[in-house]
Amino acid sequence: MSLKTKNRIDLISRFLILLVVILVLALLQPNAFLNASNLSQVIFQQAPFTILMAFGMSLAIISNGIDISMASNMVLSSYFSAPYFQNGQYLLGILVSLGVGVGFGLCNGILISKVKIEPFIATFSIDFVALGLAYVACDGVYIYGFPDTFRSLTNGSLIPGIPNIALFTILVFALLFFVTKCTIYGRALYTVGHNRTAAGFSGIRTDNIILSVYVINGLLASLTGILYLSRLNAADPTIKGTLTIDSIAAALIGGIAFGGGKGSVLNTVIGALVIMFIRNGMNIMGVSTNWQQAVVGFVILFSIFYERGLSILMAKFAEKKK
Amino acid sequence: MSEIGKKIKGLNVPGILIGDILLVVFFSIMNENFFTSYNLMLILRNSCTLLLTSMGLTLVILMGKNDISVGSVVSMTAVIVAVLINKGLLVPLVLLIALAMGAAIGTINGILVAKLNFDYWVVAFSSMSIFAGLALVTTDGVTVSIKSDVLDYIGNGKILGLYVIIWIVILLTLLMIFIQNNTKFGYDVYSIGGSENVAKVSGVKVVKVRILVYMLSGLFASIAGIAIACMTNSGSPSVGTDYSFNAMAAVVIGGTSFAGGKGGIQGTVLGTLLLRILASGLSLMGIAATWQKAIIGLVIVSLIVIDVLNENRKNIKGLRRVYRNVA
Amino acid sequence: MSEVKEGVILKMTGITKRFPGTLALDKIQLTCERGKVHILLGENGAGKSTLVKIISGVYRRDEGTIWYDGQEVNFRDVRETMDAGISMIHQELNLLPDRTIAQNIYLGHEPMKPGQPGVVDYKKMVQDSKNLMGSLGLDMNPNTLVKKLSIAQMQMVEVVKALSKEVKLVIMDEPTSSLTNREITKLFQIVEKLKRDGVAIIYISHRMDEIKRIGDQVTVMRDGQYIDTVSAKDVELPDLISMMVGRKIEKMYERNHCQPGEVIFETHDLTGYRFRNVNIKVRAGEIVSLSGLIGAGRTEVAKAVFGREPIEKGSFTLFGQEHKKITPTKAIKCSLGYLSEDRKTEGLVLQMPIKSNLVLASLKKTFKGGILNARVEDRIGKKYVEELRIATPSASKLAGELSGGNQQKVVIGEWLETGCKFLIIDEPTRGIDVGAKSEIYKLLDKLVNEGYGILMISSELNEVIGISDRVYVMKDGEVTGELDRDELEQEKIMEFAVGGKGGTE
Repeated sequence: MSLKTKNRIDLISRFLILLVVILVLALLQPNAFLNASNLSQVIFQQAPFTILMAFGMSLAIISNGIDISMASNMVLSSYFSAPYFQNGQYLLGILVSLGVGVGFGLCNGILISKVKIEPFIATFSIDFVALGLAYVACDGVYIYGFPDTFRSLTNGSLIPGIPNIALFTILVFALLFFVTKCTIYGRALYTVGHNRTAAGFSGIRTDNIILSVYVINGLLASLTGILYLSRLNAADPTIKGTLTIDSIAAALIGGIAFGGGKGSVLNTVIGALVIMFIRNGMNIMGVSTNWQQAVVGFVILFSIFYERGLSILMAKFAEKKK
Repeated sequence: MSEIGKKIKGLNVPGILIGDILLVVFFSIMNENFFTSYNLMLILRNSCTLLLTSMGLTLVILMGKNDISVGSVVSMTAVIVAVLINKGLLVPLVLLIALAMGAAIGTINGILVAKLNFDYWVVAFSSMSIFAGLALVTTDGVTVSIKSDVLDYIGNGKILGLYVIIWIVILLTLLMIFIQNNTKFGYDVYSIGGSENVAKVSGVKVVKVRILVYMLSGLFASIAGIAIACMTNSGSPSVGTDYSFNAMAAVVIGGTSFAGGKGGIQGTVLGTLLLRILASGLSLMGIAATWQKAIIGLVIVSLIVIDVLNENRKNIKGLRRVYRNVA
Repeated sequence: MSEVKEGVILKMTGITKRFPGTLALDKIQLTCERGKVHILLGENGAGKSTLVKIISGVYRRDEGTIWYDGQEVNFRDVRETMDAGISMIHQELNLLPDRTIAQNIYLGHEPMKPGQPGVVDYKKMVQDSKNLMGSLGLDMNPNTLVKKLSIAQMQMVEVVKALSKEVKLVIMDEPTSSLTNREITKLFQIVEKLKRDGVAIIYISHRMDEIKRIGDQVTVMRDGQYIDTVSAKDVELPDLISMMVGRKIEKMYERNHCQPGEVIFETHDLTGYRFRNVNIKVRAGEIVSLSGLIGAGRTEVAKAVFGREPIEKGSFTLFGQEHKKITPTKAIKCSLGYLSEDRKTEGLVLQMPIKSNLVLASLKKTFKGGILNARVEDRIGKKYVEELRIATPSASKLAGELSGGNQQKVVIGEWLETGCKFLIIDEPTRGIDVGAKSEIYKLLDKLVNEGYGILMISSELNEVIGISDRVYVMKDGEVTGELDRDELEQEKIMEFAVGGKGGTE
């Protein structure tokens, strides 16, 4: 079986999961779930944030790493830049947000690629520091109320029917898809994910590739932060919420596998939609948020079993073909 | 070198010990209330739960893996103890259930990692969120208070001037150090951590030992959860949130390397003390709790970086020596 | 069931083992007697390692029967064979650097304190290690950490470890590959002692001189097949070689020596972590070999030149340009190509298609503007599959599905595509079957005749002697000798590699 067929089967099977989830929810809650306003609310208003964060998580996992710190980085960059956006100093706000986001991304990248700390440990620690600093900076003071121009960043619709936030997400998706699938940077990224040593022996600057992944994640975190500010009309450290775990779950259930080199950002979108629909369904059915955390944990567990099962099946199929 | 000097060097934990002493000296100078028997006792008492959590984790890291679900197990146990006690169950039965639960969670993690060969980060991460969620579900997110004289005695009673809980932790620590250094099981843990392949071809039962170590990690996390319930007379579903990170930090600061096969519980004891001395000193100096978290986070990150850099340097030195040291 | 003869400790018949896609062992037989050294001879990839791994319980056989110590057995894992008195000295070091010698020797079977189940008796362990090492003529402190030993000393600890329990059968997998003369002598004394004690020994070796020195019987294997078992005393070495290779050796190594051109690569007192003051040079049109024992620092020199190991002192010149510091990216720009000894982890990305591997080292050159082009990739894939005769239905197949020889061709193609002019090839034929080997040699010959310079690192002396124009020999990180084509002999190379006949230390 060639790599292409394998990837295609994998993607289709993930799409089936999404269909099953939608189907089950549609059967359970035909009225509340399966109506245009709920679906568009989930797809266009809620999912974009998770999708954006899950993109970063996916890039990290494809490069055979992980980035736990993205959500905290998002919180910190949005909190620091919030006052400027409030005062209408947009350029300054963007600069501050990027400075914080990319700065922490760079920290992660250096710790992982140069100092060679395990990605989980490095980003887990940076997560702790970033969130700690966010609480220090906040000190109980929430920033809320932003100018309308800023709010229209997410609320408005440049193209009628599609909220700007969804438009942003589609743009980011298109860009990332192109970069990862059609450029030599993308090829290098996948190669590093598969086999960092061999990539290094082939003249790929593996350290720089890995560093760049975490810098891109910083960028994504800062962008998501700005959009979140605009959307929530408020900044405080608690907005981190469940983004970290949701984005990991999204990447894994979408078919981005631990060990690196597998899946694409399209998988991530599917995975993020699965997670958001599950959460939406639970909300509709009145399941408490406490339960939801456990459920998402189970989804992650399920996804690694699913991954294993699928690869065993494909191997058996390939053996038979021989 | 004198005999004693040699012995101290042989202990192989000098850096962290010096760090502990320097911090104590520093805070004693900065604040007169630091070096008082009251405060020192408080530091010891505060170290208990973290040390319990990190003790099992030390073995996991020693074996070359990691288990960040311990914090959730701590919360889960504290909550379960509170709920069951309030249901009117007998104390021994409650403790037994709590310990069994911790061991069971650890065993499941162990089977997923050792037997089914799943990535240990994903396994730990999913069980972390599952049990953090279930802990919240169990009490609906609120803290449940307990009224039990026995538990209160374990948590807050004193024997010979020392808290009962401190005695328990000392005994358990000594027991674990003995197991780590002197038993076949301890040897196997070091062998697997040093190199799984070497352990395998030398006939060590890798899978069995791995599962057992994960079980111990869960077990000790649940002991920590019980201890917290006893000391605070309550069960809070978020009490263990920071424990995963702090325990990991205590282990690494204590000199157990993420690469596995090196270090041990002795170091973890000192690492735990360092974290608690730092916290106590910072509070006495009047630094706000939010800042403390950030500062401790930064300290931990820099210590981890130093640990890794130091390890790299030593490896290079080792390489040189092997090739220069021709018989 | 056939009767097992008196004195026979191990008898295997009809042993067959399949791995996905290959038949690793095809009805192999082997009989070992107590107090005798049975040499297992064969080229790389002949199946020797697979066979001994079946004996030691690492692998399980698919077919065949094993009688051991008078009864038919069916070992399931290493533990069981160890308990039955089978012990193995692995070729690669199986030691824990951060544990003491004593802890390593008794790894997996630590002595327990009587009456205290599960509690290890370290004192007894140290005492026993001391006694054991003493009885084998070794003088080392059992409390020393293994990482403080030299490679040769580590190898000896490995030997002691294998003998630290009651053994009836010892398997030695190329135990002398990283030993100096002094240790080899000691090892052979140990072998003699084991023989006197009635222990059977299976000894895997590449070195012909060792066969006559310690062997009693020789079993030759080729391509997973059993060829013959002969008495070591009576057999002539050339006969053994032709049994091993299955054809006349001259045909295997065919060279058209050409007039070397100018010097394209030269090192000047190159020093790194594991080698010092290395001065070698390679001319265009030359195959130069770097020979020596495993662990002599050869691979490290190559990796340093390619930028994967640090250079501490000295420099090297590549096509007239002097470098003190280099990265793989820069090295490739300077027309250097590096084929690693460890193809599967350092050379190829097994999970990617063949065509993607072929363009891996030349991404920037192949795809102008940084945008991938599937057509260009397909074209390059097709070109090399045809040119190098890579056996695959399509270049879209995963590299991991190829056999060793074809994988090596893919790596060679990857470097040809970069347009490099100087190749460093580490163990070019490791894990490659005999047929593919001669193809690789022919390819190398063709390349040097086209003006390439090649630096080859090889542990197979036949190969070194067969195709080199010049040979440098390294020992303990230093170049100890240089030999021209007409001076090449096994004995001369070994002399430089292990440090003189009498063992000059």
